[in-house]
Amino acid sequence: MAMQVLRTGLTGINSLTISLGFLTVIGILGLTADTATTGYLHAMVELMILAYSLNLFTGLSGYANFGHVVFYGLGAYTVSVVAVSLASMGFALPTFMYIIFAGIFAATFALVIGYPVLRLRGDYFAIATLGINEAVRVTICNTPWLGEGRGIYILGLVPTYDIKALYIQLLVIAFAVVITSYLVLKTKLGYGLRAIKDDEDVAEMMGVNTAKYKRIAYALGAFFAGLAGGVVTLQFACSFPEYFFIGRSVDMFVSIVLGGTGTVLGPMIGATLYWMVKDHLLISFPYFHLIIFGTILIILVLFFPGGIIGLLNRFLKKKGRVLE
Amino acid sequence: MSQENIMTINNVTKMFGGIRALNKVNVEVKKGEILGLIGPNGSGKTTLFNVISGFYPATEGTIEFKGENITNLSPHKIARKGIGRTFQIVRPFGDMTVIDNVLVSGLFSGKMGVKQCRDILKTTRLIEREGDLAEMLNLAEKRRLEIARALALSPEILLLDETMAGLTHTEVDESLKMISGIRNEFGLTIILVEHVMRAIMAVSERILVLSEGTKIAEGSPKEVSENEQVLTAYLGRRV
Ligand SMILES: Nc1ncnc2c1ncn2[C@@H]1O[C@H](COP(=O)(O)OP(=O)(O)O)[C@@H](O)[C@H]1O
Ligand SMILES: [Mg+2]
Repeated sequence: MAMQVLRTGLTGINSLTISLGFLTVIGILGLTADTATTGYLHAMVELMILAYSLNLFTGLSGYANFGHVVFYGLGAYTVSVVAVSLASMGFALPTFMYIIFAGIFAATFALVIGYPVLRLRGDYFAIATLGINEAVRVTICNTPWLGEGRGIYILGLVPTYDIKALYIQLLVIAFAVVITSYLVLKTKLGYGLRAIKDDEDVAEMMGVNTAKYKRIAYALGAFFAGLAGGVVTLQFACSFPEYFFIGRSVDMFVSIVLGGTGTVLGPMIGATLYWMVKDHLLISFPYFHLIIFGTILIILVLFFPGGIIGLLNRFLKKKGRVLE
Repeated sequence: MSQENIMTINNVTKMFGGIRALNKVNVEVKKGEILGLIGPNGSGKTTLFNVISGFYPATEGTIEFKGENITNLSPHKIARKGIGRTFQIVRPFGDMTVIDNVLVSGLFSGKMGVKQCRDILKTTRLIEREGDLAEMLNLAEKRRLEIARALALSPEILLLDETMAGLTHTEVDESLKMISGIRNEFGLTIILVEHVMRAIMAVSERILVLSEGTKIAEGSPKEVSENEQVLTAYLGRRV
């Protein structure tokens, strides 16, 4: 695949620089702050990664993947299964190796399941993704060697770490997913996906191998979601069926729609704002916050389909600039 | 003009349920010609384009392009082999800029980069609008964008589906000039579907007439315009 970075039109403001700068600030804050703050920022960066991973596929191709959380859950379980297997043979790997396994397994699963499921379009695709997530969760809950409903504990089976060390690993993933998003948007893959989002049939007739490019993006998104899932297992020394909770998909969706789908900066802005607001609401209204977010999502989709980036661009375009 | 065939359509039939949209159609397309394709509404012109470009599988028959059977290839492969098309109801990538629309086919055909795509925008008089979103264009511009996008595939055959419908008299004249210009500049073969009779008569070297999915006439513009069966099909009466 050509990795030529294409520059056309208005690219006055470099969204990549802004995103990486912001991430650096969050990173430094988390590393220098007390443990509680690090934990708070850790969860926020995790949501960012998930939002970017969803954006890579759904944001660019327009395919609504409500079951994206399945890749997060599979990543989480990969780590515990690998950790338990290796421990039974008497050895362990450096922590980042477990995380990489998680990404690779999630991506492989996406490549395989993508074959049938990416033939579906629109609502059918969205429903199928929910079905896949549920099928995987139920399978795990009924499989003894996967811990059924109890989960798999790996305490003492992997090298010990502290929250800051884990936070650094999460930051590395976050940097990687932001840079990947930028490269995807600016190269052939991104052009193909945007064309698919606009009109898949026409894209196909203009030479885009739509089946192939959808599958690549689907697997790429799965890879990063899988990495995030790998980190969470290491964080709690356990993988639970709760990691497949569909509410996590909602978190990612609201984040990218709020920030601006298909952009480089959008998922970061969206995830940050969403996380800060959600944290407050969660404390004040444990259940009611779901209704509030549902309403926000509807308002966004109906009136501000471009999200915050879309709104900013309305003003910036008059000055001949644009945020990506 | 050489008499070499670039494409051969053999006995192509297309059924939609019980509707026979194309009925055993045979066409030999000569390299470098502008072939006019006419026929009343619903006679199967767009369907023929959809079958050639692989969007619909043919129910029966084969299509050969430069001696190769392309009948069951997927549309992106057919496009990359050098068959570009436009759509009767314009379908630009509305959320992408004009240049990015063209770049999609340029990149995926593997034949053109930003610079060559800009050149195509100059030829199709869209260069001033390269940074605008495609949905902002007016109808005439959208039609030209569709031609530009097809040209970025660096095609050998261009299928133009009513690219002049709804245009003003002056715009039709400009469009005619552009089509002849494109053919000469790029050495293309063009199949042109058009309802604007004076336009099709002016540029086509050969005309093919479809009626209810069946080819009823083929020949020079003069021959076709004097063909009794054609007049009946078009005007619904004997002349
Ligand atoms: N996708 C489709 N499904 C069912 N019938 C179709 C479809 N596309 C075209 N047809 C039918 O095929 C016939 C030919 O249509 P078309 O090729 O669009 O005609 P033309 O372009 O000559 O006006 C018409 O009867 C039309 O209703
Ligand atoms: Mg038609």
